[in-house]
Amino acid sequence: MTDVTCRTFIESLDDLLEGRLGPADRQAAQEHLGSCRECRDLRSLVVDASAPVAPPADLLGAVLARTSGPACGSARERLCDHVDRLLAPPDEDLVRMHLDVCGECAGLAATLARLATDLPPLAEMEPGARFVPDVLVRTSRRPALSDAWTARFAGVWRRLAYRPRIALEGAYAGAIILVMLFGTANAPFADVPRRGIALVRSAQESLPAGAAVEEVPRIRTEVVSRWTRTKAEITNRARDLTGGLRRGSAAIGESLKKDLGTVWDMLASGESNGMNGTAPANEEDKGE
Amino acid sequence: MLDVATLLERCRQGDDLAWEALVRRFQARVYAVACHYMRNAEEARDVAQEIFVRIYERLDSFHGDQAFLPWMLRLSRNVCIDTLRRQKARPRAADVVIDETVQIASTAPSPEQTSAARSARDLLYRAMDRMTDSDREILMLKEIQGLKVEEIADLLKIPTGTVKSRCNRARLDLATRVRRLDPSYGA
Repeated sequence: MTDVTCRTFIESLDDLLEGRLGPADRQAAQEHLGSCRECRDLRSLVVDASAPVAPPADLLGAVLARTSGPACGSARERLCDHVDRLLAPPDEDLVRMHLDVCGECAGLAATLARLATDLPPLAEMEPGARFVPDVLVRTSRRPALSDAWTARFAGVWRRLAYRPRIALEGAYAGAIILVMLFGTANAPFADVPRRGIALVRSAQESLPAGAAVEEVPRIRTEVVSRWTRTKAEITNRARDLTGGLRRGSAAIGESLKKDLGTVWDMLASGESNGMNGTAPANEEDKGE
Repeated sequence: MLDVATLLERCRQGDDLAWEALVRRFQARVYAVACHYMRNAEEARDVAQEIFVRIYERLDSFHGDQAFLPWMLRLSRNVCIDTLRRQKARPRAADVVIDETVQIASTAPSPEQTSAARSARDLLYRAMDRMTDSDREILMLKEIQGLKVEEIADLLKIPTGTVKSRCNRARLDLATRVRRLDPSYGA
């Protein structure tokens, strides 16, 4: 390229500026520049445009505000993974570039990094010297079943006793029991009060006031003998009652056992039929 | 030092010494969990005892093929939540940050380090105190107690993706709160 025209100069301008031309071509280009004003202006323009110029500080913010908005939200979505080093390389580069220009996100990232070391020690706290002995007292031996039941019964009883109307309820229950034992015509001890009153009355009628002192031994004997008879009657009635109950429960138990035996036999026979292949005949019939 | 599986096996056989060793080994961790839920040192101590009694009663139901820590944390969480439900009528002890008697279990060699650790711990407690219960819980399980995402998902009955996103959100929330309280933290 010795004969340099404006066109060839323009084509070789990049090479000239970046020093890739050979000595002869560079010489020809310099000579052309000395003779052509338009090419000189062009060269000056290209040189000025390629010089680094700092952009305005608010350019990035202004562009983002008019386009996608600030990128802090996207960066914070990936900030934890950035701190944990879980991001893929492209994402990692993008987050790093953002952190270089965003002080707030960089501060958050630094805080997250320190939290990763400060939080795990909170997993343990000393509860004090008395803690282990207290736990051991409460768990020193496995409670037996009877202990558990006793504790449960005690708990129920304690809850009952703490009821505000326990006295009223106790008196009510006691009155019902007394009426059931003594107060009705069919009660087992219905005639005991009547007999007691009759005994006192007969003693009063048969005994003059002055002779009470001499009669005391006889009255005592009489009371004892009548009490013995009454006691024997009470015992007999109680025995009859319990005997009747026992016989009744035995009869119920027998009939129940018989019914259960029948059911069991039915079940057993059904099962054996099934095992022998006789029962599925019905199923096959149904299937057909 | 005996491993946990051996300790548990001996506990199941009724070895009181093994049980004592197990309580000693996990007392700080159980107490920390109770503190995080109860947010009151005295109540946390009672609940921690209750947790160990419950662990003792249920040792037979623990299977050797599962990890002990998640099992213990699950049980601890259940006891704490039961207790909180029973206390629902009582005012929340939100303003009672862990009291001065609470100490970090790790040993600090110098007074300066102890002081720094305590102030950092207090700062974290103050920041966590204002977080939502669910954020604080997931932070406690994942970042503090170190459970895996799958274990937390199993414990809270939520998908693993939800655990991850909730945990990241809670960490960011905590970091923001900490920076608000102390802008120099992490710098």
